Amino acid sequence: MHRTFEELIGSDLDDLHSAALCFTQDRHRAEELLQEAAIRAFHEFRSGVGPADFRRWMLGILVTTYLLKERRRGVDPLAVDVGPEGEEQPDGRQDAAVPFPEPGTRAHEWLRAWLNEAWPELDAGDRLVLWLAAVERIRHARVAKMLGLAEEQVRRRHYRARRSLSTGASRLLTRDRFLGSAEA
Amino acid sequence: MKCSEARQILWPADDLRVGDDTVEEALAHAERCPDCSAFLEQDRQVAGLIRDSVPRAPAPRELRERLFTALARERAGLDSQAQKTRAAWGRRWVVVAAMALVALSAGSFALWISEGGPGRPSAATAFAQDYLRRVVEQESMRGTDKEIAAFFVRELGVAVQPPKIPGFAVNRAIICLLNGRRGGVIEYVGKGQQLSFYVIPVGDDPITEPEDLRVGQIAGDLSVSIALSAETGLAVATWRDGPHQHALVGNADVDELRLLARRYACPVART
Ligand SMILES: [Zn+2]
Repeated sequence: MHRTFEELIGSDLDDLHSAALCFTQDRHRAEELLQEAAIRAFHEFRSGVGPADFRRWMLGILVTTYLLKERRRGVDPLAVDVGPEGEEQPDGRQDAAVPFPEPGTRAHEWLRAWLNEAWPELDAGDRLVLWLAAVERIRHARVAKMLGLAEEQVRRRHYRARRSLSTGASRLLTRDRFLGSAEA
Repeated sequence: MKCSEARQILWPADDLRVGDDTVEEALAHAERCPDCSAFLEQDRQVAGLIRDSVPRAPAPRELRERLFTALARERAGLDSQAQKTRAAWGRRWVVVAAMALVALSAGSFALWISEGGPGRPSAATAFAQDYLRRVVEQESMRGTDKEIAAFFVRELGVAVQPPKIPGFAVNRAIICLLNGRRGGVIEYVGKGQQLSFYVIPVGDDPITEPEDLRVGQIAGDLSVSIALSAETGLAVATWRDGPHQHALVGNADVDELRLLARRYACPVART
């Protein structure tokens, strides 16, 4: 028996809510976004879709609805695409290799907590791309289609966001104070 | 190959890529170059950490409820009408929802029946059919009759005591959401049969005080009209007493259900 729209969205609702909250950074707007996207998806839904395809499809509608709603209120998360010089793509620079702490250690937990807090600091468009590419693991070409961007733009945003978090994490790890207290 | 080229080809490090000649060359470079392998290793670690540390926020229960209510309205095709006539909802409650138990082999089905005539049978049936299993389940619990009554008081403001049905045992109590209204369901199992008894408060006024509702006495007598129907292999009996809509649904035949429904509707008929 085919699963219904309500069943399918019911299984993914927590993840979709997390995504909506990450995009909007606002609880109220995240709920509004999710509801609007769900109603829209409901009308476009064709039965026979499996859970994995549904999730990807529903995420696409969530993203489109997010962009529409933002643009409606005069904000375009993808309008500005300029990052710090040299952080647009991988280059040959030799960063100091900072060993990352092992999972399960206090330092690792600390780092996770820091990363959790660092998401809101990212540019809205970069954050959106990071979620799709790094968390949902959607390929750049597909993300580009979802967002109406060129693949290269997606790659650049992904790199920028990832590098920003990576650099921040490395800085945190090299701080004596942090290492001292984390290992204590 | 230069480090920058190799990195551009191999980034993101956690991505799978087709192993063409260029990729092979970049991989060979990274294997020999400690800086590039350190770069890629760090990238992999960061990717893992990002996925691991991403802010997770489960959908709040109120949102879940609001969303499924909105979807129910959409499905019933009543959205715009519902907006205008929300106040009249209770009085105009002419539909009875009925949902089957999770069937042992065939899944579960639900029906949405117009009590007084054709109404909107197709939309209504389709709506109910989509409200299956856990989609409509808000909360469920297993426990003694007293615990179940307390559960319904807490969740619905109605103390529903599970009626005793010979040959059937109470399986669990569920809070369901049907056409935007929260209701209670008591599931029974016995002799390869399953039965669901519904209590859906439909009064106009919000319930503020728990009512001492004794299911076996709510109907008074059989002058209460019990509507019977059969669809998709399920029998459905529906009736209303004052502020509560009731349904009894089971994988029984209609005649059998008529007898069973009397046990719910009339204390005299109960053993
Ligand atoms: Zn190299």
